[in-house]
Amino acid sequence: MNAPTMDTMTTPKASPEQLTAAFYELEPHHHPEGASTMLGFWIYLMSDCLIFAMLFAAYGVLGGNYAAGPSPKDLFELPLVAVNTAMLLFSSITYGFAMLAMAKNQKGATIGWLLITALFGAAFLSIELYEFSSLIHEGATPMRSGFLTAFFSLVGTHGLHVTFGLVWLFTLVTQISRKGLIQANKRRLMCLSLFWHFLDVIWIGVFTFVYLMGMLR
Amino acid sequence: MTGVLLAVPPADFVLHNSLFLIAHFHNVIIGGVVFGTFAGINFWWPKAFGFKLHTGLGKVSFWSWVIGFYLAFMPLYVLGLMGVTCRMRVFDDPSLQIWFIIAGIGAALIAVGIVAFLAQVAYSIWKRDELACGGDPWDARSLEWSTTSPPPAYNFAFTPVVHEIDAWDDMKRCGVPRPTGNFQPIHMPKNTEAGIVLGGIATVFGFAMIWHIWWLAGLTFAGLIGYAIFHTFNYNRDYFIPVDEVTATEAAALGQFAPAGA
Repeated sequence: MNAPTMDTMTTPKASPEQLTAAFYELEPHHHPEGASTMLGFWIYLMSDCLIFAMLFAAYGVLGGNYAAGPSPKDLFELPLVAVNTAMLLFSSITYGFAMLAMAKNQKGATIGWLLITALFGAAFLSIELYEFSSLIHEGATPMRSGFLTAFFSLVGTHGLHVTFGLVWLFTLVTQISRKGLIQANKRRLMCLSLFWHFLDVIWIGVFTFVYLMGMLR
Repeated sequence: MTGVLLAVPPADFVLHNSLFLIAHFHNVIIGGVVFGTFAGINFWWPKAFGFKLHTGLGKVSFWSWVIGFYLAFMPLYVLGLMGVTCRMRVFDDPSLQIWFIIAGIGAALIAVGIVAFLAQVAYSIWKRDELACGGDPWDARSLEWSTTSPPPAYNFAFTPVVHEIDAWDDMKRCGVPRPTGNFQPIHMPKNTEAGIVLGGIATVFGFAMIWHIWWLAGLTFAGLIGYAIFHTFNYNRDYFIPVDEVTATEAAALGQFAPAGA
C-alpha cells in the first residue's frame, strides 16, 4: 500500500471532520438552470459548421464540372441574389432588435421584431424557391451535372436550415406570448439568435463563393 | 493482427470471403466486444441490482467461452488459408475434415458457455437474497463503489472531491468518514418520455424510408417535428429531493458500509 497522499493525512492530526470536508463538497454550490446550454449550443453550431464545410468542399471540387451543361454565368441572376442576400441580412438586423427589446424586457416589441424577422426570412426562402424552380424549368436540375448537384446540395441545405429556423421562431413567438420573457424563454431566444446569425454567416460564404466567384469563372 | 494482414491488398484479394475472414471477424468481435461485455455485466451487476452473480456458474461460462472460442475459430484461419470459402454447406476435401470437427467441438463448448451464462443470471436472480451485497462488494477503486448498491436516484448526497485517479481507493486508505448530517435538498432533472417517444417515431420513420412507404415517412417525419415542438412547451423539468428523504436514504446507506471505510 502506498502512503496516503492527502495533505490532511501528512499533518498528523487530521480529524475525521476535516477528512470528510476534504473529500466531499459539503457546501453545495448552485448551478443556475440552463447554465451550460450556451456551450452545448456552440458545440452544435460548430458541428453544423462542419456539414457546411464539407458541402463547400464538395462545391469547390465539383463546381467546375458542367458536363457540357450550363455554367454559373448562364444560370445566375446577380440582381435577384443581391435582393435575396439583402433579405437575409435585414432579418439578422431585425433579430438583433428583437434581442435588444428582450434585454429591456419589452415583450410586445420582442415579438414584433421576431415577426418582422420571420417576414424577411420567408421572403428569402420565397426568392430562393423561385430561383430553384426557374433553374429546374430551364433543365438545370441537380441531376444535370456535378456543378449543379453540389450547388443544390449546398444552397438547399442552407435553405432547409432557414426553414427550420422559421419553425423554431414561430414556436418561440407562441411560447413568449404565453409565458412572457421568462429566463427559459430568454435562453431559447439566445440560442435561436446564434443559429440565425450563423445562417447569415454561412450565406455570406455561399454568396461569395458560389454566386460572385461563379460569375468570374 | 489478422486485420493488419487483411488490410494488405494482395492478401485481401486471396482471403476475401474465405473462412480466414470469418475467423478474423469473430476474433475481433468475441475477443474485443463480447468478452468485454461479459466482464462488464459481471463487474457492475451488483452495483445495478444489489446482488452478485453466482461465481461458480460464471466460471463455467468463462472457461467454456474461452476454450470454445479458441477451438471454434482458430481452425478457421487454417481452413481459410487452405482456400475454404464461407457459407458452404459441404466441403469435399477429407484432409481438411479434422479442422471442421475441431471447430464443431468449439462451437458446442460455446453453446455450453451461453447456457451457463443464462443459467447464471437466472439462478442469481432466484437466489438474490443470498447473493445480496453492500455498496462495495469487490473492495473496488473507483467512485461508483462509494455509493449504495443500487445507487440512490441522486447518486451522491455530497459531490465527492477527487484527489487521485482511484478516488474511492484513496478515500478508503485515508479512512474518510461518510458525511452523516447537514444534508441539503438535491436539485434533480425530472424524468421525461421524450427520448423514448422520439426514438420510437424515428424508428418507424427509418423503416418507412427504407421501404419507400412515403405516406408513413411523411406522417412520422411530421410527428417527429411536432412532438419535439410539443415537448418544448413543457417548462416544468426539475424538482428537489427533500432533505428528509436524503437523510433517510443516507442513514440506510450507512448499513452497507459498516464499518465505515473498511
